[in-house]
Amino acid sequence: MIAHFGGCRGVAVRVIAAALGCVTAIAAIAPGALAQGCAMCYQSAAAGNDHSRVALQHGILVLLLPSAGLFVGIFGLIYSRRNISR
Amino acid sequence: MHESALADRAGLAAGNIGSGGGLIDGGGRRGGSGAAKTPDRAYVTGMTIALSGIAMFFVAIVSAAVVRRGAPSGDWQPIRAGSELWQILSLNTAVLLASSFTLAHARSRGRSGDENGFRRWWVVTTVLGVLFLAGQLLAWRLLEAAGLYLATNPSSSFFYLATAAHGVHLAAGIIALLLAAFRPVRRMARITAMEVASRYWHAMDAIWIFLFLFLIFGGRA
Repeated sequence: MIAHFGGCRGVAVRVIAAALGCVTAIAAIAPGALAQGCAMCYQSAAAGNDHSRVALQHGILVLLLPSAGLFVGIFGLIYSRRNISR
Repeated sequence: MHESALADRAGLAAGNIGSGGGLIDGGGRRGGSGAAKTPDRAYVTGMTIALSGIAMFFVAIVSAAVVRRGAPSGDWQPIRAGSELWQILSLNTAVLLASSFTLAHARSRGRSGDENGFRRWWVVTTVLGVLFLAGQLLAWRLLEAAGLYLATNPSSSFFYLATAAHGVHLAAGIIALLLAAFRPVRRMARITAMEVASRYWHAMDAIWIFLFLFLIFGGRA
């Protein structure tokens, strides 16, 4: 894909890809990204029993999987149409 | 001719969004001169994106119900309204599934130019949709007879909320089906209106099956 672009455009794509990679890596290792910084979420999860914690995890999964699937689907749709003008 | 070839290429490239969606519309435009018009393919893409948002709305409701069911308060009570409720819901599901098949049949009739066949099956689909809504109302009456109202229990609240939200969306789908079949839509080819409406309908069908499965395994448990 990158080879398709030439000159400055190729450099810009590489820079954007590297920046996105850095942001993703930082977000993955940052404790704040694991919702530890959300006091309300932490308190409600800590106050519950094992059953409620499992329910919370399931609820997060139910919310996460379709949205991740939609993100990938829309991204794929946009990518597949990148060369179509009108 | 040249524009047609370009449209075919665009349609093939867009073909990944569904069965034949790109081939039907082919990125074609109505009218050839004057101001640039919205390509018909854009309507299909717009509906696909809109359906993503609608799907996430229902997913959010189900996610909230999953969390609420496991809340420490433990006040989630299974829905107990007799076996008739689940029989009616199963029948409604069968009706909605049948409507998807009749809609697919109507589309194939429409593609082949069989106007009468298209209208006949399209009307059958619409009638099945109305039957589904009537069945949902019947299910509500059964809940009411069992003393289960909106505020009775978190599970009954979820049941009413999910079925009402889906019913409203399906009613919009019925209106869309009627408009697509019997009233020419401005700025859009009829075959595109047909494609957009049928996409919406199939999505409502899939969302209901998702909700129904959750009601069986989550609401009743």
